[in-house]
Amino acid sequence: MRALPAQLVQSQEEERRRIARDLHGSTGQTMAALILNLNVLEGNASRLGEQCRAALSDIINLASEVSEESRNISCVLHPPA
Amino acid sequence: MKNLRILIADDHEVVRRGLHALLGTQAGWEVVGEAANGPDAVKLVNQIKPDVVIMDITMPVMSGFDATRLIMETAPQTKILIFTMHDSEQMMQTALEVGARGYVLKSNAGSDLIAAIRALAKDETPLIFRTAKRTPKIV
Repeated sequence: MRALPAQLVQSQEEERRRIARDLHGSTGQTMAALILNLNVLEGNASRLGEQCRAALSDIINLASEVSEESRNISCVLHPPA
Repeated sequence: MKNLRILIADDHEVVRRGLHALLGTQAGWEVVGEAANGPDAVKLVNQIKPDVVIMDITMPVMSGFDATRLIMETAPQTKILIFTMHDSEQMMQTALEVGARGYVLKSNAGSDLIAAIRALAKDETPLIFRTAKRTPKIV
């Protein structure tokens, strides 16, 4: 019975590690690619109307925030060694 | 004027595609190759001799740090920019020790990447870029 809490802790730790790994390795890379491509659009934004340019700028900022938050959550869940 | 020749080394295809698209918008810059792991990056650098390598750290077979160390032995004129998810002082220190000239976080690609490559192209004092909230460090 006493082994159960230790097993639970270990299981929780493994789950945290897996989520951190997924955030870092998958979500983070996809967000980076998204931001890179949004910057391609921004480079051609002169062709867009003012409203669309403002929206694009907001999207880029939001994507950067999501990327940073995802990285922070990953670090909290499983700090780098 | 001679084009700036850039090699991309990253194991995530979606990131390579994004980099290729963004760098392709810059006048005078040319992506001359892509590698998905460390050994391929080293081999391609020796074959095509790019001016700049954009190097991920965590890659299969060989890390970006080991690949950078090997490239510095055989092609020390190559300017290597680490492009990574790792926001870590220790990683940044290691990047410097193995010979990288810059360090850009993937989460800050939009604000820092183009500026970092421009700095390298001008052979300016090596810059290390941290998060957008902090000032770039001169080392």
